[in-house]
Amino acid sequence: MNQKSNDGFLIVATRLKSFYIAGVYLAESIKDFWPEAQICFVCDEWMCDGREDVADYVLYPPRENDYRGKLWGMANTPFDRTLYLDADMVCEHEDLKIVFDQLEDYDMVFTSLNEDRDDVFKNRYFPAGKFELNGGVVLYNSSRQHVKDFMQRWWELYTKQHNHTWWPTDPETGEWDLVNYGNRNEMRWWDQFTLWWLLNKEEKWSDMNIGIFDDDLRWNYYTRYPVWNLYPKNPVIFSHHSTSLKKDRYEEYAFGDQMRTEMDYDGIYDSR
Amino acid sequence: MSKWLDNAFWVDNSKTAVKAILETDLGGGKVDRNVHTITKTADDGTENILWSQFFEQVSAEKVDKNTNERSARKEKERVIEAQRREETLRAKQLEALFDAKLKAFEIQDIKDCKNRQLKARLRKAKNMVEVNAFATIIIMEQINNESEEQ
Repeated sequence: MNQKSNDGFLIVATRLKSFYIAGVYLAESIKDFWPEAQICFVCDEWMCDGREDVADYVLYPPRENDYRGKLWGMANTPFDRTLYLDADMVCEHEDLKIVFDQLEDYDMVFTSLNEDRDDVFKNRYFPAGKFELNGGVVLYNSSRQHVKDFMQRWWELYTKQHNHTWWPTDPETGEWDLVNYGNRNEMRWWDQFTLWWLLNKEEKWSDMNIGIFDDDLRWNYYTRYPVWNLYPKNPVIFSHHSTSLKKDRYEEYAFGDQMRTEMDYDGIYDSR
Repeated sequence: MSKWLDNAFWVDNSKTAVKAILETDLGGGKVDRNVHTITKTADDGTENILWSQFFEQVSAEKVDKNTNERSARKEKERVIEAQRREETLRAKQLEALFDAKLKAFEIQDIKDCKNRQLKARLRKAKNMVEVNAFATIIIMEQINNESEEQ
């Protein structure tokens, strides 16, 4: 284990109280296996009920209810080496303590999207390419300025995409290229497209040193994966419950008086 | 002009009926294909003329081979489908377990509980029975603590 004093875990739970509940649960599950682990929790102030105190740092993004507060959080981590985790994950094994060894000299380390996971990720293909990195778990060297700059750029570009003010253009017509880059409305909700774009199309990030976790399934194991033919060599460290946080299922108990629907949110966001 | 395709297979182990496709060239590049079940004998017990016509074009050995390959393929598909169903069920159970744990942690007594060890056991519960058991223990402990304080 090669832990430094300023290594830490980043959990982001903006916009929905259900993310907050799950994010707190994830933080507690990390502390179950590693009480000394440092955690930074990024959330909206309105959703806090005190349980965020499990974290060593609590940050509020400048824009409340940001659709991808994740990206702001990643750019503003207080740690030198950071493991970002989606809020709907759970720590299941003490081997999380070796996570920072995986960074080696890479700038960023991901789990991969590849053909054997296509049953779970059906929308990773588009005419001009395919997504190969899963943004649900990202280990990165946040002490390097160019890595933090990348995160900042990712947040800014995603925000533009989400607000319908950015999409790749056709060099000949100057119009948005809807032929090569797929369904922009569908892509709008994901940060995957902007991640792919930055790493594949923006020259500035072409030297970014990207790695893939060893035995990567154990770092981001979706409960929907078929255990018959898709299972890590070693025990799962983080399980991913991506189907559990369907907001509608949580509204009845998770939102209470502070319920915010997708439509409300979009209205707030798009008017800015 | 019609011909029997050679991908026919036996309907059952008695080998008294085959399922076969009759392809008819309608001219102009159009082809008509119909699936037939050809029995060895007609309903009145006489020899079925289609049966002999079919075996003039396709050998019994070829039908044997097709039948074996089809059986193997169907068995493989059945196993994969069963695995898929089991996977779906397993995934749903895991999601339901996760949901149940999150809901348990929304119960005020469990939220307020300071016993980290017990709460960790609830988080690590492997099934609904364990979730219910540890949730109950935590609530009981909270009630006992309140009684002692009073």
